[in-house]
Amino acid sequence: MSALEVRNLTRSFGALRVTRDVTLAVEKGARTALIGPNGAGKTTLVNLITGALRPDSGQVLLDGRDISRLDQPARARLGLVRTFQITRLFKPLSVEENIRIAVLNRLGHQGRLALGREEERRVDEAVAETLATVRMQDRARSTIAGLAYGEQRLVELALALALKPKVLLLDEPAAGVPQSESHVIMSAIAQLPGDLAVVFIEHDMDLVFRFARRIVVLVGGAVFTEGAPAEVAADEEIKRIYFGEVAP
Amino acid sequence: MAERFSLRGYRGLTGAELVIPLAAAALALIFPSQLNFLMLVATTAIFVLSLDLVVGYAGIVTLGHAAFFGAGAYGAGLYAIHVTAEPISGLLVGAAAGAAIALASGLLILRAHGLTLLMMTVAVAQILLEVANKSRWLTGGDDGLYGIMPAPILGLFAFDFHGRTGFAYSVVILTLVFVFLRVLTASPFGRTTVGIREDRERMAALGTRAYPHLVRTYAISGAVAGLAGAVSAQTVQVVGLNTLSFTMSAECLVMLVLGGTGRLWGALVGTLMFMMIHHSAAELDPFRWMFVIGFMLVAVVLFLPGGVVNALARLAGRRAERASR
Repeated sequence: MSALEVRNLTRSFGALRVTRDVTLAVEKGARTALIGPNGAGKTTLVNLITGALRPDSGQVLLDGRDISRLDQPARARLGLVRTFQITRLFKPLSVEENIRIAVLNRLGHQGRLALGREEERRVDEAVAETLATVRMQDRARSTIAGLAYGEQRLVELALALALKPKVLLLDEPAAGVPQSESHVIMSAIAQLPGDLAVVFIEHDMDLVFRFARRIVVLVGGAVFTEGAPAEVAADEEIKRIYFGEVAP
Repeated sequence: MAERFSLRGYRGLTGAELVIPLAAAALALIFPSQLNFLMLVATTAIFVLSLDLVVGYAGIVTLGHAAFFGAGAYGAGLYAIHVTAEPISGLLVGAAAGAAIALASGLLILRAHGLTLLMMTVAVAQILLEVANKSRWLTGGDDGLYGIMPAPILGLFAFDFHGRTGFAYSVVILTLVFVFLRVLTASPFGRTTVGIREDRERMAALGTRAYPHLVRTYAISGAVAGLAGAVSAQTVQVVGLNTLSFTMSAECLVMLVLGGTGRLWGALVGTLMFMMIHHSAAELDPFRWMFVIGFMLVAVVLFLPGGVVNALARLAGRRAERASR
């Protein structure tokens, strides 16, 4: 059974069909790159999978369960978690407080007026653990506004990890980060738990070929091809459509 | 098994809350002839605190918050006249009336955003104002609701003409409300509210549905506003249509903006500043006091964005940073 399965997902904005009959499966432990030229519908597909957008037709299954009718918060609670292409963090709050909000959500405490001592301890532990995962313990008290962009991307990742996802959708995790800092983010991604299914959108082909074990190529809203990195790299048609346009 | 609650669960409290009764006592000693005015300041501060929860913490801009103050005032007033003059239960009735109106209107309007939402908050208050105006048989219409004679508090402290009891009563309730809101805003509930204010979509991606949480926040704020209205009805002993008016909503928003949003202290400082200046400027020149307020508002918005308390906090932060270098 696939961790995430998408069946015949279709979505139009007016006359523009941005997602056409997309079907794909992501296994447990997968490292799948979603690539395609600008406007191929990659972010829209992530929005459809997470429930931020409703599809015109098609299904999304998480661990074999049809979650097509659930809204975004419900899907997030089941472990279908995403990050955003442009960081969306709680700017006036500290790194630690940002992560705390995510942890409170995972533990279902977000509406509580007070926590018991034991619950409080569990929240503190989870926050500390997440901070350690992205190695930001010494920045815990900085506000988001005081962080470099690369660090903000790490917090973005930390918010997703704090939810202990089953499937993690990363929308250009290194976008906007200077080359000199992108290795920090990529090493954080490399150390993600082995059984976590990861789908990532990325334009940097070095990163794609370094981390992906499977590549899905999206063109014009439809899956053009998919396969192992070596197969995709060897495909002449893809070279023409995609690599030809962006290769240096 | 009931878990014991740790003090850390109440990390919003610092002991600084004691400043409120102490400052109130000092003001009462310095201006013993102004107790009725100071009582009004304390009552208004409770209302502005409820507004801060909605505007400062939840990010809902409203110009109709007086709807809940008025609902609480009329609720407690009618309860005192027709049911019992016992004041503590009257407070609960006022809070329930404010919460009920906030819950009902919040369910309707909180799906909207921006200007649409702002207009709907105005509309709700205007509808209530008109209902109170036309229900003369019940509310007294534009003559006001008279005949509220609250019994002594706990059977011990009778309300007096000089406002001594009323002042102490409103300060005690103000302090309790402040403590409650400090705990609330520091709690997981309060952090979620701030998260929604900052980025609704991000919160959805983390698993929080913004709408029901905002409705709950709005209802809690309505309860506090209703409580303020009840205190007003019991201490002033008359309820007028002005409790539901647009002016009431707008002036209290100005108080909050002057003091600073999203910090609770701002609500207290803003209310005190606005009402002191109003009080003394109106004595000097009853026709042009608004000029002073207007000038002050422009000055704060231009030079102290975020209000007086936020500016002070920034200053203190910068000092601490310099000291730590």
